[in-house]
Amino acid sequence: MRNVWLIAQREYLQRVRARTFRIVTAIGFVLVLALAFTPSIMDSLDTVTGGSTIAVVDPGKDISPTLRAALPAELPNGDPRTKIVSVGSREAAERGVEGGEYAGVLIPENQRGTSPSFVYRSPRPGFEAEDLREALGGIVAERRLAEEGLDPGEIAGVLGPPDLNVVATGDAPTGEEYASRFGVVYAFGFVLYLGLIMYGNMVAMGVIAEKSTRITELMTAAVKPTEQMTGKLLGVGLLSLTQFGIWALAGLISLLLGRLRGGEGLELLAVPPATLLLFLFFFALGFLLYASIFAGLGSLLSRVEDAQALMAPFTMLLLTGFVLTIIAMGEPDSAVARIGSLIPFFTPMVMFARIELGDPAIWEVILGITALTATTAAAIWAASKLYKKGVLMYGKGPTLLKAAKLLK
Amino acid sequence: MTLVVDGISKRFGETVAVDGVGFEVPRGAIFGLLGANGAGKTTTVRVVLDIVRPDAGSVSWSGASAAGLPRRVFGYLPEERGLYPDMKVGEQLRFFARIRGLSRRDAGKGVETWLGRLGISRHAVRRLHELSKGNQQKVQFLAAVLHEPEVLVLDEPFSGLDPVNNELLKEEILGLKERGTTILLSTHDMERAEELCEGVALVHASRLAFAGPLHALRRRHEDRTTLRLGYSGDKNHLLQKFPGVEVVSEWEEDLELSPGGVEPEEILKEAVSSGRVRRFETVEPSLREIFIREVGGA
Repeated sequence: MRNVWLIAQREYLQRVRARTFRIVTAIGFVLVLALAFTPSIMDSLDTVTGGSTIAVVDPGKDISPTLRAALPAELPNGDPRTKIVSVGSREAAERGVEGGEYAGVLIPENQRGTSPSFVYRSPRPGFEAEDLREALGGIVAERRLAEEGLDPGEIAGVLGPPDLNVVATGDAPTGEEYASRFGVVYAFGFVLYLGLIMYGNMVAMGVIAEKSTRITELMTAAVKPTEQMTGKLLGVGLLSLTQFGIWALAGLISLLLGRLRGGEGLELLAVPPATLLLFLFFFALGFLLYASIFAGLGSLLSRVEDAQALMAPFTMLLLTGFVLTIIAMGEPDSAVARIGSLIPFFTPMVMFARIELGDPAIWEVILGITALTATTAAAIWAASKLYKKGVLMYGKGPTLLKAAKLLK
Repeated sequence: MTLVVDGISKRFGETVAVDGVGFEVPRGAIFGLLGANGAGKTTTVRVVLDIVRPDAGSVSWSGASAAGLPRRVFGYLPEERGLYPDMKVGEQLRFFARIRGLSRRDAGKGVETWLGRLGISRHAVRRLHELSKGNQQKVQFLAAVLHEPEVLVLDEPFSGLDPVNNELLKEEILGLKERGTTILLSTHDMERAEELCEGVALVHASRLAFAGPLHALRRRHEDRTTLRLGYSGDKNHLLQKFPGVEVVSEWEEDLELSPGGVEPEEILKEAVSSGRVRRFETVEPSLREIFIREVGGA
């Protein structure tokens, strides 16, 4: 145990000081902070660029007030997204467009009869044209109904949306909660996938490097191979936790800053502690599963170039798991997601998404985690067996089949 | 207290690496494990250190199976560099000392003393790969001896060292021996082995060709003992007198003779009476010659 700790310590300290680790951690830190401020940054951006002003040639101010009321969308600062200005003459409006004051001019043409027409002139018609079309459609329909003799209450009844009351009957999050969780799960699922690949590879590369520099030989004269492997896994595992810890700190800081600023829009990215714990739990199991496989296979190699071929099937498994997770995020309780969450190689990612976004049965969760734990234990056992045999294997690496035969 | 290697055999797949190699090293002795490249030295060393389990045979130290002993008993300098290239020298040595069971304090003290002794204290804070090859080898040596092992296994320790450092390392090895360390020196550097070892084991093509004290090995090759004669006189007369004697080499007035069963004193007497003798000595075959004879002739 002492040796395991010494090795883990060395592993951790060497890697935590490495430049790449610092850079990746710093980038992640900045990214998390930036992400938290994205909504407010987007808002101010939207306030500056998102609004447009439309001139309506409307000397009698007949249509402007109605149009204004039919365009209720607001910018984050409370201004209307599409501002309506009534202008006395078309010439004045055109001048305003040339001067950049207005985005375009709305000219009512034939206003008699049941199908009035309008012209919208703009150097670059954009979203506002669509908004106008919709608003005018409503206004015209209202006018026609009024001409047919309906009173305002009846008109509202005809044009208003039907009353649909949505009732959630399961525990899965719905509506806004679902939307906010979706973002969190997406981010965590991605970090889970990247973390497993990155740290799994780190373990494999470390093992191969120790073999190619013949450190393994010196180490094996002093420490049992199993202890070497355990120490390595522990060291790299702690490293990953350090990184996640620093990123979580960034999340916390942004949350506090948000609160201090009277934070609107930050709610969306607030991570519930339970989610964080669940993430850490699945990461730990997933890391032990994949990293021990990578370590065991890495111990059979003495050149980094040979690693790709031997590990590719497991990297593919990880990728498949990630794709399944994305599917599971869309339909957390679909057959694909349910089956995926019970296959140990996919469980860490898919089950995480299902628990967060769906409503898996308790037996599914227990079965999934049990199968994952058992597979992880088997992987660690197999890896330490390979490690023992691999210590003095030099030259070209074996195939996966030959590696499996070594387990006998 | 003896290191006993008892008839060990090891094969890797079809290849027989070691076949029935055995020898004994008494405590405090320097014992040479000699052989050509690929003869089976490194495998023997690995079996002694329990890096590889033998298919047959065993290794014991003072009566106890070596595999069951705490790893602190052994020290090992592998043939190829086995250190972390990116790690600082001092930190690295402390790590290896602690892995071998030293406390943090003892490791720290040991590293400081030993770095000073080998004159590389100033490199303690540098990364290993920044050091010269010779200094790296010194660090590798320290990684083997810091924890004061009872049995020290050195696999080609002199490779890559200049003559000055060669001498320095030799002194350190002799110092360790004086302090009671039992040393197994695996090498094909016969001159070094001859200088340092009391006993040797000769491994050839995975098998043991000889194991025992160096003088016993020399006795086996007595027929290769020559006489060196600095002589001004009638060489032919001398050779006629002793028909068995042959000239091995000749350089100006120095002759190297193979006595061919004739007593050296007889030859000396005759030489003195028939000319002038400046020098006369019997020369035992060098370990190098013996080695080539054992290995080449087999």
